[in-house]
Formats: sequence, structure tokens, C-alpha cells
Amino acid sequence: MAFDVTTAIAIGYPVGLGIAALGSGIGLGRAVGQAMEAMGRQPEASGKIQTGMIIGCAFIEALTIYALISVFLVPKG
Amino acid sequence: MDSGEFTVQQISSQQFILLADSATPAGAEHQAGEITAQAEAAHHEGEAAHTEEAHGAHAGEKKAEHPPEVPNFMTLIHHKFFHHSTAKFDKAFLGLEALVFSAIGVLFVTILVMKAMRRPKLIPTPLQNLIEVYVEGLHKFFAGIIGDKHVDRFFPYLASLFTFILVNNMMGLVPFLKPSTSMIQTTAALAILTFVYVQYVGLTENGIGGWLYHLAGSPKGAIMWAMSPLFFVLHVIGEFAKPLSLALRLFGNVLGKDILLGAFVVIGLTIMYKFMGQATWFGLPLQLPFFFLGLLLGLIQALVFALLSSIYILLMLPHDDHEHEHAHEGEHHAEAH
Repeated sequence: MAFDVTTAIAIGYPVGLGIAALGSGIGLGRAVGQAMEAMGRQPEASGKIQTGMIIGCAFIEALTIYALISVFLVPKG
Repeated sequence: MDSGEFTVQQISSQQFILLADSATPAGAEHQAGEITAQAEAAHHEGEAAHTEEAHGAHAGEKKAEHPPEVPNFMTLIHHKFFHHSTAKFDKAFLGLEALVFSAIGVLFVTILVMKAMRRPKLIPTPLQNLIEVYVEGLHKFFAGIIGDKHVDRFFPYLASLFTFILVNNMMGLVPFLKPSTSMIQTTAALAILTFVYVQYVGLTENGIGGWLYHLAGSPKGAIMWAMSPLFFVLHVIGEFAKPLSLALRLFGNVLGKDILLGAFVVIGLTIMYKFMGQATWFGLPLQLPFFFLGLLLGLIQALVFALLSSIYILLMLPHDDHEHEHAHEGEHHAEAH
């Protein structure tokens, strides 16, 4: 089987993306889980907790998105 | 493949996903845009479908990983009038997209605020009320982060940043418009601007010596002085990584949403083609649920960009004890990634 760059990219890029998604899944799960727990403990603070959770989720999501847009750095051919 | 027409259609709609123009990523849009133009047009005006197959045949020969995007009015103008021009002209014309759509966003906000605040009354009109609620909400939000002492100095910049990014993200949901933050030009420009402004604030607040001292990790004691070169290098790299991450986060989120919309429009069209057996000028509106995702993500990304900028500014300001807990809370947010 001939080894060419297209095949290598076609295998490597989705696997890398999957691993990035896995990492963000774990991170977001932990963050949201702890936010839910905190909201359960103190329901009157749930507004602040929710805001902080959304902001934290945006940071964690960003790492997966860096992996996603690396497709534009792949040279053609 | 039952008919020749189907074949051409199938090939051309497959070709969208793989299509590119070598010179510019924007070239893919106007080529990929033709069939999606039909879907968009169906929501608003009618357009003839007969150009589809001619376009499918004209579609690019080069295979590259370029995703489809929904067309906007500039690509439609380009298709109607300047269809057969050179690649350089294409690049120049479609490169103006970032400027034109940013300008549209800014004009929109300017006209809105001018109409509302022309003669501010004590009992406000509804539009004036909306603008006041918006500005006061933002002021409270930023005051909670930077602290009441400094917020008035930085609030104009941060609030304009937030409003600009918010309006531009929302423009992705309006038909025939495109978010200018989905192009790396705009987001990189915003990030560079923020970076320069933060360094400027650091220099003016602390003086050059104080700025270098802060970059070296604020050493207080023999051990920290010995490690200060290491801290200096780390801090400088960190300072450069911050605008990079700001730009890429915003760009990736908005472009990803655009690509998602484009891909679902193409899917809707191919499904409609399979039902009807011929090329129609509208497809199943499968992309509608993603509009809500786009709303949410657009708002969140604008918020995160402005929030991070305010935290970077806060870190550059002189820390006194009252600010210290805000700085720690801010760093906690920043270090969460």
C-alpha cells in the first residue's frame, strides 16, 4: 500500500479531533457536574453559578475548536 | 443513478464539499454558494434554478478540503456581474467581505443608538429604555470584574468590543449577510488591538520599570529574584499566547457555526432533490435548529472575549489588597483553560 500524504492526513486528522473532543467531554462533564452540585447546595446562588459555568464551558470548548480549525492549515495535495 | 440530470446534480452537490479555488478560501463560497443560494432565496425571493447545472459543470476541478458556506449578498453580486474575472480580482473583491460586513454592523448600531438617544427624555421611549438597560447591564458586569475604581476608564473600549462582536456574530443568522468575525482578519485584528491596548495600559499604569517587573513575576525575595528570568520568558510567551487564543476561539466558533449551517443547507437540498427527482430551488430547512445554537454561541463568545480582555486589563493594573481578590477570581477564570 502506497503511503501518501492524503491518506496520512485522512487518518490522522479525525483521530486527533476525536481525542480533542474526548478531552473536552471530560472537562465539560466535570465542570457542569460540579456546577450542578454547587447549585444544589445553595439554590439562591444559582444565577452566579450558572454564569460562571457558561464562561468556563466556553474556555474548555475553545480547545476543541483549535483542533477543529487546524484543518485550514493542512496544505493541499 | 437513474438519469443524467441526477448524475450532474449529485456530482455537483458532492463537489461542494470538496471544492476550492486555489487562490482564496472565499472562492469556494461563491462556487459552493450557488446551490445554497437557491435555498436561501427560497426563504425570501425566487430565483431561477437553471443556473445550477451550468454552475455544477463550471465547479472547480481542484479537490481540497474546503467546506461549504451559505452565500451572502457579496458573493451573489460577484456571481451575477463578475463571474468570469481573474483570480486576483476575486481575491480582492471577496476579501472586502470582512470590511463590508463589519461596516454594516457598525452602521446598524450607530443608527440604532442615534435614533434612540437623539433627545433623551426623563421617561424613556422604548428604544431608549432598551439601550439604557443594555449599557447599564454591561457596566454592572464589568464593574464586578474590574472594580468600581477603574471601570469608567476602560468601559468604553470593553463595551464597544462586546457590542461589535455580538452584532457581527448575529449577522450570521440574517439571510444574505455574513458574520465578519468568521474571517480570521477581523478576529485577529480585534485580538491584536486588545493586546496592544493591554500592554499600553500596563506601561502607563506601572511605568516601564514596573511593567518589566510585572512581567518578571513580581519577585519579592532572593529565591524569586533568582527565578525571575525564567518567569520573564514564561510571561512573555503567555502574553503572546493570549491574543492568539482570543482570536482563534472567536474565529473557530463563528466559522464552525457557518460551516454547520452550510453543510445542513446542502443536505437539505440533496434530500429535496431525492424526493422531487429534479433540481428544485429550495430544500428542506434542516438548518433551522442550528440557528438557536448560533444565537447562544454568538452571545457566549462575545461575552467571553470581552470578559477575557477585561481580565487581562485587570492583571496589568496595580494590585492593591482590595483588587487582589478580584484578580484571583479573574485568574481563576483565565486559568480554567
